[in-house]
Amino acid sequence: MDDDIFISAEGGKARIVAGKHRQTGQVVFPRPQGTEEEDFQRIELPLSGTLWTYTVQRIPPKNPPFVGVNSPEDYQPYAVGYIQFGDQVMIEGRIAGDPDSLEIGMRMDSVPLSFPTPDGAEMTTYAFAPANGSRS
Amino acid sequence: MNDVYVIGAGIHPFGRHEGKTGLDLGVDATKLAVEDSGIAWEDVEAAFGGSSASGNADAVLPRMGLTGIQFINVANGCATGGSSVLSAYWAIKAGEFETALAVGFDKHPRGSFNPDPVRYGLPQWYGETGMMLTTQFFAMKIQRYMHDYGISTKSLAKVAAKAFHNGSKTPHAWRRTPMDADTVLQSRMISDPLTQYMFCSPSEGGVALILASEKKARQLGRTQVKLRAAALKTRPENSFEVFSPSLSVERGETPTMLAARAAFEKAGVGPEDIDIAQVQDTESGAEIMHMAENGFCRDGEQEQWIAEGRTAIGGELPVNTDGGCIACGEPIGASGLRQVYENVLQLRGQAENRQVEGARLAFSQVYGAPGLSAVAILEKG
Repeated sequence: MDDDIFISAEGGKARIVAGKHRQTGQVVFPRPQGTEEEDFQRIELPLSGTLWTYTVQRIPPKNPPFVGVNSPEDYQPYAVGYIQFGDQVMIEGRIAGDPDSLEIGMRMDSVPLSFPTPDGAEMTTYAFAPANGSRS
Repeated sequence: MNDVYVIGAGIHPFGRHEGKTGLDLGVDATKLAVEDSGIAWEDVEAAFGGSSASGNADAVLPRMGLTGIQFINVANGCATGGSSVLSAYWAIKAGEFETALAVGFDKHPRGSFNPDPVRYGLPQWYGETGMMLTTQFFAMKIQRYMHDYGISTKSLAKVAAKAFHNGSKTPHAWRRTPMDADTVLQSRMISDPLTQYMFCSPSEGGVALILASEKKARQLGRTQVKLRAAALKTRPENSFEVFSPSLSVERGETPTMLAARAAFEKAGVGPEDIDIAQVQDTESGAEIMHMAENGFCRDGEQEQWIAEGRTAIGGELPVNTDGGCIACGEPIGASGLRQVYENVLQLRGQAENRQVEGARLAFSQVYGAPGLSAVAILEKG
């Protein structure tokens, strides 16, 4: 994955890289490339936010475009959600760990996530995980 | 400006049809619509049509007759059918043509759609990591809506049960076996909180409508159904839409709100005047949210509306009287046209055992990726 989507951060976390429009201040992710790139300043988001909404992908997505393991016998459901970073932006991402433990409003950290592909390799992406002590 | 009438309507039933191509379904529907209209194919002056997975819609022409008719292929996601009707409506309203065809058909493979991220201007990793699924968007939108407005999963199940009940009475529906809310609730979870039978499935079908100017409709004695208004709007800023790696933190209006408001303004009527509504029900939650986005109720009131059966046939505002997308499935090019077809039958009094008595104003709204909505309001002539 593009290094400019996220970078590794302290404590095994991942820091998401977004773009802030130089005139309007609007924050977008991923940071626009190409002809639009110069309109956006590169910014790094905080390491945690709150869960705005989520769902769980219970059935295997089709390949393409999904590159993870999607055979019916080996497929592992995963959660996807939007995490709100203060008044800046909401980011959509996969949620690491147990998909059945989630609640709207939970504090979430941004973390790296590696998942296996059918050829035995791995794909690494950014994801979110409930922050320590977020389940009160 | 000319008033516009729907003078002919034809459908190939939705479902799975082995041995028939998507185009076959479109040709069948077109022949039925022309026959229903009382005009000859040679007298159809303009045509607008769309198909997402079954080739160019203008492939119906060699099968119908190469009359030199001007045909425009329409591609507007799940709102393709609604966009075809809108195009035909504009053409006649502008006075350019006396008659026009709107046609849509499709035949999709089984299972969920798997769109290519690049076609939506998104990076490949968005699909590779498993986020390029429309089902996730619908699930996340209703999940948040339930949290904000107190809608229960039981209501989601009841919407689907209503769809199957209405579908059981509809010859053009795909799923015609009634199913109770508990069975819907206990079916396989697809994308929380939505189960298998709360979702519509990609399917096969074709629909065609013949529209005409008031002058032509009067000549033919076909003034039973007037197309009072049609409008299409794309997503405004701050709308929560499918395939969005990021969203602004403020929630604003949706394309459905804008399209409904535009159509109501053009028609000079309000949501309270509507007798029957077909709204996009990609899944149960979409029907619930679209009830409010179209202006029929306030956010959160759906829970009570559904508990009281107000959206059932016989209720105050019957919604998705033919079972909607949940019972009919979704052939992209035809889906929005099916809604108008159903409203035409209802206003003509031809809906048999699902007839809504006394219906005068009928509303339809189709929503599609990447965030647009098309609305049509029909009136009994």
